[in-house]
Amino acid sequence: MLTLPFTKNGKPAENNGYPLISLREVDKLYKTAVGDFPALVNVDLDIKAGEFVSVIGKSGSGKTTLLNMITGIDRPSEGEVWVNQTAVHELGENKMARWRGNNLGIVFQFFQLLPMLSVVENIMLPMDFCSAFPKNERKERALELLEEMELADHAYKLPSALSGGQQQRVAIARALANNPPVIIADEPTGNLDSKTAERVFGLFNELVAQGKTIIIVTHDREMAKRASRVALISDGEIVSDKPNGVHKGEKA
Amino acid sequence: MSSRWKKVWADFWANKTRTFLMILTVIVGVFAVGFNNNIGLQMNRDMDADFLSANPSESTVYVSPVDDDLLVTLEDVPGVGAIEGRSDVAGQLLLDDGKKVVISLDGIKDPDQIHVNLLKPEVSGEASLPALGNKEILLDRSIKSFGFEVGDMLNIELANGKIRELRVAGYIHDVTTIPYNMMGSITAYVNTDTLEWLGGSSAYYSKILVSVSENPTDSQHVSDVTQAVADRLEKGGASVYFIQIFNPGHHFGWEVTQGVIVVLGVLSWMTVFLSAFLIVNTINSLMAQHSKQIGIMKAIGGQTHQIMTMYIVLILSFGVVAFALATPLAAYLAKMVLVGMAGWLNFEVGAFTIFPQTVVQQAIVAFIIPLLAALLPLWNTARITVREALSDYGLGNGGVKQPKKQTKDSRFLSRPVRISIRNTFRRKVRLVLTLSTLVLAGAIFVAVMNLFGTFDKTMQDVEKYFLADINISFNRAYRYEKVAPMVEAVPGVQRAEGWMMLGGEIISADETTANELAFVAPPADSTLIEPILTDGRWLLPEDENAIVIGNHLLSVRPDLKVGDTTKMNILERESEWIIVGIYRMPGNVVPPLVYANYEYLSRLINAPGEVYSLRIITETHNDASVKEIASQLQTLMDANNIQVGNIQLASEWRLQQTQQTDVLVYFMLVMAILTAVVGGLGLMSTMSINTLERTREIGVMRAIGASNFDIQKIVLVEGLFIGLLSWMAGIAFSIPITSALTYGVGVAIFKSPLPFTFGMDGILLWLFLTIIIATFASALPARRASRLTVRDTLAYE
Repeated sequence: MLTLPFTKNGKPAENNGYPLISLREVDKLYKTAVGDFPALVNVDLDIKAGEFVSVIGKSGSGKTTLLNMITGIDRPSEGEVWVNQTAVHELGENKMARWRGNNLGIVFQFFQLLPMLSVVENIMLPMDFCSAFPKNERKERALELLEEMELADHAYKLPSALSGGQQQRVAIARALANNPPVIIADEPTGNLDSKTAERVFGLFNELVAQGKTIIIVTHDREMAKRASRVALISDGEIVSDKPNGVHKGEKA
Repeated sequence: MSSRWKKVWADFWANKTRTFLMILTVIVGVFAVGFNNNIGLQMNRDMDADFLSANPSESTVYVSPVDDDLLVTLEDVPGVGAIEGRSDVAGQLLLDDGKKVVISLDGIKDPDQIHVNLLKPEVSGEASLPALGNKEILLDRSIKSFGFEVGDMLNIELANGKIRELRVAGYIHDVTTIPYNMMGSITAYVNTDTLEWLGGSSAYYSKILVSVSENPTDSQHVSDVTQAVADRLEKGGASVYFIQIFNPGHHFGWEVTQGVIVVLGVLSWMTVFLSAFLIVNTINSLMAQHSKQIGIMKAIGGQTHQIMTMYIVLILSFGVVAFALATPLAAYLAKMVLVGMAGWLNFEVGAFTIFPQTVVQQAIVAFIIPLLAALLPLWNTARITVREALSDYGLGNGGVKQPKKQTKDSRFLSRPVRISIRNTFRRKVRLVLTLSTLVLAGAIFVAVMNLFGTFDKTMQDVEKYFLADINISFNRAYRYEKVAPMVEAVPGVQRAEGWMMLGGEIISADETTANELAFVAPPADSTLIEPILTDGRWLLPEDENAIVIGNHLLSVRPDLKVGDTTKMNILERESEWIIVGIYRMPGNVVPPLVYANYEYLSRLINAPGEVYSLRIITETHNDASVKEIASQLQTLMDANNIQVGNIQLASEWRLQQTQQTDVLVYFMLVMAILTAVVGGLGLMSTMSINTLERTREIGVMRAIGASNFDIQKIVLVEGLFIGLLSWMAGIAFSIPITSALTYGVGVAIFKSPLPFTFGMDGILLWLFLTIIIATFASALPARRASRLTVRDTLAYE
């Protein structure tokens, strides 16, 4: 069972009855050489704290754009995006970076670890940027996160010395570094074999159980079923959004 | 160390080629600025310090013999600080190989009792000067290359043909006299008894050294005080022949070195400018490579200012290394060059100093310039959004639309060559920056080569006034009909012209002032002068009191023009002359030369048919035969008791002159090479970046069958194509730079703009260098690209 270090408790973030993440009538239009391309059309989505949401859809359906709206990586053409009571669509780039560092942990398909830093340094980097923990505690926390990911032996290796699955677990540890309430993962298992993908999903389940809110984008419908809720997106619209029954990791 | 700074260190250390190129780029600028500044500042300081410590005279008045009684009255002339009388004997030093060198032997009572133009011990710090006994000679250290040892006996041939033997008493440091290597003649010292023994006079002085009491660098003040001294001398019954004032208050080399330092300073800052271009290019590519990393850092909480700070520290770290290496290197090499310059210009190098102003300038070049150059690319990339940074998947972008014409002509070029040419234009900003660096480097290189050509042209222009192969100067007038047939009988001699050279004065219109000048009188039918006329005409055989004046006289008498009648004083007799033409001669000529017909001038001074010099033209003109003929002439003159003052060969004169401009040429060549290095580094950097960016494309090409040679060819041809583009543009840009250099160097060193010369040498040499630089700069990236495996390249992120 994954227990997060340095957290006061494992409870979900306080939301005072509001959804933790809320998208209101979000449109996203890309201007291209062949004309305007609507990536998202009138999207409304509420996600409560502690939910584990899978977003599925075909390639080009708007899954990643939807995640980019939540992370603030991209901005809506119309509509509002609220995360943890913050109007993300109104934040400037600089404030956004700091806010994102403190509130969101992002896991990428291609891991995106900095190749020149060791594994433990990659995990310390968000803490350094956001000063989330006292300086003398950052390394200890990074090592404990690696311990939880069963990667403590690899702490001082460069990412290139690790397998894809190991790199993705380092990326998850980095996403957890500042102890954000929300984890966003874009095709986190897209580059992994099925066994390793299974293990990564296991980690997500444990994090949800710890109180984290997780949103993942995936192609894999079987994997998606392991989330508590599945949203299907097609041509920029959410065409289906329903609970997935009692989740394996969720306590009855 | 936090992980942020570990990343900075990793960026610095991991890509050693990039770090090396960046540091080298900054080093070039820091070195160039430091080297020039160190040399300039220390040379100016030491040259003048050594010179002024000798209590130098600011002017010399050449007079008919003056005794001590008249001399002491000069000390009362307002403005005079010190006065000293000297008399000398001229002769020729006979060398073992039969060569003769003109030597002037100044008589001094005691080397330690000189008050003006002090002699100093040969080695700085030695307590006293060597004792100077009877029949002994003191030599300046600048002629140590002759190999004379203390105690050696020197043979001096006097004007009357007698040979006297003098023992070398020792060497001294005579900083106020122009050394042999620049003058071609030697100044040495004997005591007054020896001077009398050599035929000189110790009771009378022929030159008066004047040191002013204040404002020694004020030419007008020095001129006024000297004129007052001359007036007092004339009132005392002496005749003033000539006044010499040359850069008062400064070492004789000061004027030339000022020009050199300014020109080299401009070139060194131009190198810095080029380095800045290269830095912009490198930082642009660094940021392009790092944009994804910046996106990741922003995604995990990094703010723009935090990321900016990281990259600023990275850039400053390049500067720190460059500064640490280039500052001592520039200081050390400057010292080495300075020691060489001091030997050549005969001044004492003082304690080696690190000048704060130089270090500050070097720090600016090492830290501020790279930062300023990097600021815009840094700011643009650090502000990139996470989406922009992470969205650049797949093959590199930046492809260019294929023009129709290119498609039509494509059958003439192989596909890899067409890929190279298209690749060249994919990153237009980078191409412009790379081209700018190479174009400027090429333009400077070609301009410096053109300057060499200009020096040659200048020498040729000067030589037009001295076309003879050999010039024999006599110590007294000889009848042309006696000496000319004698000389013309020597095998190899084609012809000898008898010339006259005579001192005089040009009197101002209001008859209040007079300017020294020298009459040069070739025979009316002379073929040994091809003047460059700027106004009027040259002398005609029927001209009587006609003169042609030059640019040097015009600089002191700008009111003179063609058609004017002027009053001259020649041998204390006034005469009127009509200006019929104005000539131009490059260089700083003191006193100014005025040309008149020999026939008229010789009649005017009651010496018709008498000549002071013979200008000889040989049949073959080649150096070896001219030397042989000169040697025969010397023997002939000795055998006939003709008192020869000097035999000068045109080739030796040319060598002497070119030695002076060579120093400037070598310095400029160093600067031109530095700019070429910067240009090469720029191209190498660009080709490395291009190759790195196209790693995936290279993988695709390899996957579909491209061989190592194909990949290397694509990269090499692109480098060569950029090089050739820069070469063509460099030629165009070299025109204004050549113009500026010839003007600046001319005004600074030769006192008038040099003629604009544009030769093919520089253009072809730069083409050759461009091909070498482009090949070398592209070879490493090409090799690296060809060694990438398909697996590596397609996995590249």
